Amino acid sequence: MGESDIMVSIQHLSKSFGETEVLRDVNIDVKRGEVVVVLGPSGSGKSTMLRCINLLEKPTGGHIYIEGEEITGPNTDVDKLREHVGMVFQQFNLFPHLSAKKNVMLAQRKVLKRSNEEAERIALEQLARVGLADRADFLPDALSGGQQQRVAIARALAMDPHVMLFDEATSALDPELVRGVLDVMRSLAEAGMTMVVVTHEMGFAREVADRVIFMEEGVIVEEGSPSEVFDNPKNDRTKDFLGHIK
Amino acid sequence: MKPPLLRKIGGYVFAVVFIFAGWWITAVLVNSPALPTPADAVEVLVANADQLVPYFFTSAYRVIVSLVIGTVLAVPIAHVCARSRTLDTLFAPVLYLLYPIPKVVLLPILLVLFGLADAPKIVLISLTVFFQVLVAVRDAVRAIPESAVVAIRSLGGSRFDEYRHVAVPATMPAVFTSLRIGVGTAIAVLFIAEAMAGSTGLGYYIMQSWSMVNYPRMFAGIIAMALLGVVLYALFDIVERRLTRWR
Ligand SMILES: Nc1ncnc2c1ncn2[C@@H]1O[C@H](COP(=O)(O)OP(=O)(O)OP(=O)(O)O)[C@@H](O)[C@H]1O
Ligand SMILES: [Mg+2]
Repeated sequence: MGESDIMVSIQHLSKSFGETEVLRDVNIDVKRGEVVVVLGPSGSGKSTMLRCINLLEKPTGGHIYIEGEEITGPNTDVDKLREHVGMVFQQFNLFPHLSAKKNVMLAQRKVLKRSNEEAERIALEQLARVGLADRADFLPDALSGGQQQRVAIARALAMDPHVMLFDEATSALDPELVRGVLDVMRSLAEAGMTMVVVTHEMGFAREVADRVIFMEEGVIVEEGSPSEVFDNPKNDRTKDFLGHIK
Repeated sequence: MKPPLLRKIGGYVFAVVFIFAGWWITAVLVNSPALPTPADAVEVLVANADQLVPYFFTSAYRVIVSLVIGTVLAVPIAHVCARSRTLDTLFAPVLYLLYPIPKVVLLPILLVLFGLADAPKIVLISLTVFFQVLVAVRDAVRAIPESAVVAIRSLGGSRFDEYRHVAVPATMPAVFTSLRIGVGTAIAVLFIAEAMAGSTGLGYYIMQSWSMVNYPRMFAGIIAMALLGVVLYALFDIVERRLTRWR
């Protein structure tokens, strides 16, 4: 396999907040088009790991490469990097004063300097992709949580990311709204998007993941295909965790 | 949900009738020349309108300029204080001690320093407004969730974008709420300042009429001052609705 097939390469990543070590020697390679689901108990460092990938957190050790380029070096253009790495959070954080369409347009206009017409065309495309073509002119307050999260996904997709990071994108949603968001994520995966997904949705992980990683206390304790990890977990911690979740 | 327009207008009609009825009854019961009935008051107001207008505009000028100065100074300082831990540790205690002091007690000092015309009044009201807006906006900035800032950063937004698209919209309501509350305080302070010093403005007009025992004239001044408050309050209300239509 050539170098260019590795989309994200995390090597010996460590991160501490003051005295507390949150990540220790984390190594992950994500191939182009691959969907990696990260599982683990609360506080195990999943969010921190994701946030290191777009430098929302600065790693204290190790190296991260995106499409072969090191982002942990001293001269990284953070803005350029973030253009290629889309992220969706647990809280949707749409701009409350802008319609769904304007929410999707704003960063395209300001960061990518797209023309108004182009940004609008792409916004409508992406909103259609997440099933919200008919909600383009609604303000966030007039949308359900699930719809807001789908707008947030469209907003990230409009920036043409090469990889998408999802940090518990459905955890803040009422159970009946989770489905719609997962469907959007599934269709993204089917369309070949490279994705790193932190979630507690085991059904999604089993169906959509190419690879499942289980983290605990800042280290990867188990890694494999969904069937390996879910059906034959080798590590006692993983067994425990999956037992609790089910 | 916005109430239908008719219901809203109905509400205001009711309010006006209610207030005037209460006023009328009180005036009849008190039966003092200092408190005319609404009918007499309207008559007095019309009769004194010519004289009153310049006083009204002097007062309006002072309040409006002060509201603008106070706000323009307070908003950026509030943003900076809320964002910088160092500045906040330094200034939060200062603010804590200064905020509750009624600024109006500084009036005598300001009169000595700035004379009797517009300046001491504008400085005093600006100070009052400044602290109210500062505290409200600072708290609003602090209430912005970290996640909102992180979201815009993950989209490649700059520091400026954080302000423009997160901090400003999030604090706009606080600015206007403090301004609407500020109008009442500002006019109260204006009244005291004008009544105490100088020979201009509605505060002076009212107290001068009082000392001349010209109660109808005094009452016309009081109504004019009340009107100034209502007009400014309504103005801020309208501007706020325009600027924060998403709410
Ligand atoms: N800014 C910070 N300062 C100090 N400690 C932090 C900070 N951010 C995270 N931590 C700590 O790092 C550890 C890992 O946190 P992280 O949010 O990555 O966990 P997580 O696996 O995402 O958990 P959850 O499932 O609850 O979201 C926790 O112990 C947390 O308290
Ligand atoms: Mg997390």
